[in-house]
Amino acid sequence: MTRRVPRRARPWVGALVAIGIWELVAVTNAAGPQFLASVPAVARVAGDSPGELLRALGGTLQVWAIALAISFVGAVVLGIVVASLPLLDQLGEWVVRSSRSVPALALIPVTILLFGLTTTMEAILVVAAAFWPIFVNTAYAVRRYRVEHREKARALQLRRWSFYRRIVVPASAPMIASGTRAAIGLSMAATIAVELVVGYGGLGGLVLTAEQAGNTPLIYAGVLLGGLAGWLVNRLFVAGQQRLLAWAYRPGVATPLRARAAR
Amino acid sequence: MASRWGREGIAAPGVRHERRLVVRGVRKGLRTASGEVREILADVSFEVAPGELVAVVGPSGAGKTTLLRTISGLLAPDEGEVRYGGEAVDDVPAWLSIVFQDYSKSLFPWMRNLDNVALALSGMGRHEREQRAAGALERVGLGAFARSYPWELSGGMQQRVALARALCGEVSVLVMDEPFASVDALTRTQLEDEVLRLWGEMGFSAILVTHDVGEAVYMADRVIALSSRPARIVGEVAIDLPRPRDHLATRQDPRFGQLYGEVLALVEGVGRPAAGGAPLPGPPAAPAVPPARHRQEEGDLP
Ligand SMILES: Nc1ncnc2c1ncn2[C@@H]1O[C@H](COP(=O)(O)OP(=O)(O)OP(=O)(O)O)[C@@H](O)[C@H]1O
Ligand SMILES: [Mg+2]
Repeated sequence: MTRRVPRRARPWVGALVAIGIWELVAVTNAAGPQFLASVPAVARVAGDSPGELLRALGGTLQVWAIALAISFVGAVVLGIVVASLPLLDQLGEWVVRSSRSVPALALIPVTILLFGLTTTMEAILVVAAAFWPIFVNTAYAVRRYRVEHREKARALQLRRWSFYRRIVVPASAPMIASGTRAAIGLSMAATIAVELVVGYGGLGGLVLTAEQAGNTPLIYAGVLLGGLAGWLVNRLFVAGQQRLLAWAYRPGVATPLRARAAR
Repeated sequence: MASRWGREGIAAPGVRHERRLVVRGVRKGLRTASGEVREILADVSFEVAPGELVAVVGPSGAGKTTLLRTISGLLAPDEGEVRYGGEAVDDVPAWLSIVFQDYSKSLFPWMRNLDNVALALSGMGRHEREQRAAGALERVGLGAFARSYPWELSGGMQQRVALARALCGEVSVLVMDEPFASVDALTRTQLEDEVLRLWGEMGFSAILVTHDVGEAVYMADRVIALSSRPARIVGEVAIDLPRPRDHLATRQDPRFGQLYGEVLALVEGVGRPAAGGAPLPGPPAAPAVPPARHRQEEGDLP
């Protein structure tokens, strides 16, 4: 039976089955209509107010993208600097270890205390969520590759600037990319969580308002749209990664990406 | 191709080649992970005449790589000195090029072959750098692969790219650490001839570290044998085989067999008194005058 379904069609079949189960639960009223909207109701809401949904999504993506960009630049630059200066690296060891294990969302009360329910507070939390995976990966890679390639660079009489620009940074790029990929998911979640706390703006705001208005289908539409957007962003990122860092995914090299593809 | 290279060339013949490389009384210890200092090189002295090709053979773990790193200025000797002409060799000088054993680690996979080669060039515009790098690739027969990545090439081709990189600057001394050890036997003979041809055309001095006694005898003007660690020189053999050399003719020459035996005896004799039979050559203090160099014509190449 499973053999008759072509490999590529299977995820679609799985998705349809999941939607079927959802609809079944909804029509049998097993969860109660205020808790689970039926599939057609969600579709209707999405069809009626696509503008509202897309505006909300746009708001979320904007905050997220700006914060991620700030995190990326900051984490990569700091990661390179810290990993290149052993004294700084050692001084920062415990600070980094303890800071990175604090979940960004646990900082919500502190940031509200400091900045109130402002955009600054939102941005800081999202930046905090995205920063550590990128920083840690960058620093790890730079620490490793500046030692691994030092002798070759000396043999080629490379100056420090060329050594970093031509060797250390490109060598570290695949690890920086996987840190960034982790950061994308974490910061997207943080953005929506912060919107839920602040109570307005973006998908979080939309979902919260819908909940207060008892508009269950709109809640589900918002949640699904968020999931879809996250998935799409991830796909785009992976595609870009494979194009720009093709050398790292060359045949015969084991990478997480390749392992996934070969699954 | 040869004439074109001669004009655009890297080292115009004879640029710095009147200088001798002198390794005198070099000792080197390395610190092991457990903290103690292990003696690797015990008093190594030899000289390389301008344009001479010297092979260094020795058992595995003897300290050959350590010796090359010290000669190149990657490591500072604990005692003794390395000089080129009057100049002390510290940090890797611009006129010295190194070919490492593992080409897959010496070429950078994110750069095209052209950029990998051009990395060795500095102090000139981008255009000129790329043109010289392209010329160097052409010289090793890989002109068509300038825009490919190293990992798109076979192992032997990658080692050729590494060779092109080593030879694209103004090189007067080429240092090679078992450069052909990780390619197959056929590619190996081709690469050996490739290096001999480039050496003949460009006139640099060369030090070749190898495990392979046959390769050492085939290529070198002189073979130096090292003891096992801590390395000292146990003897040297002047290779008086005529040039240009050719795998078929040279290796069938009875003289090749004799020299092979002499070198092997030196290497095998390591650790126990030299077995009778193989005559030990004179002390290394009197380095052989390199035999007159014969330019290897392109037509001679297989
Ligand atoms: N970084 C290091 N610290 C301590 N000991 C080292 C270090 N590198 C090499 N050695 C030791 O020095 C000795 C010589 O090493 P080296 O790599 O120079 O040998 P080699 O002659 O090139 O060997 P091979 O023919 O296997 O390449 C070895 O016994 C090795 O254990
Ligand atoms: Mg070695």
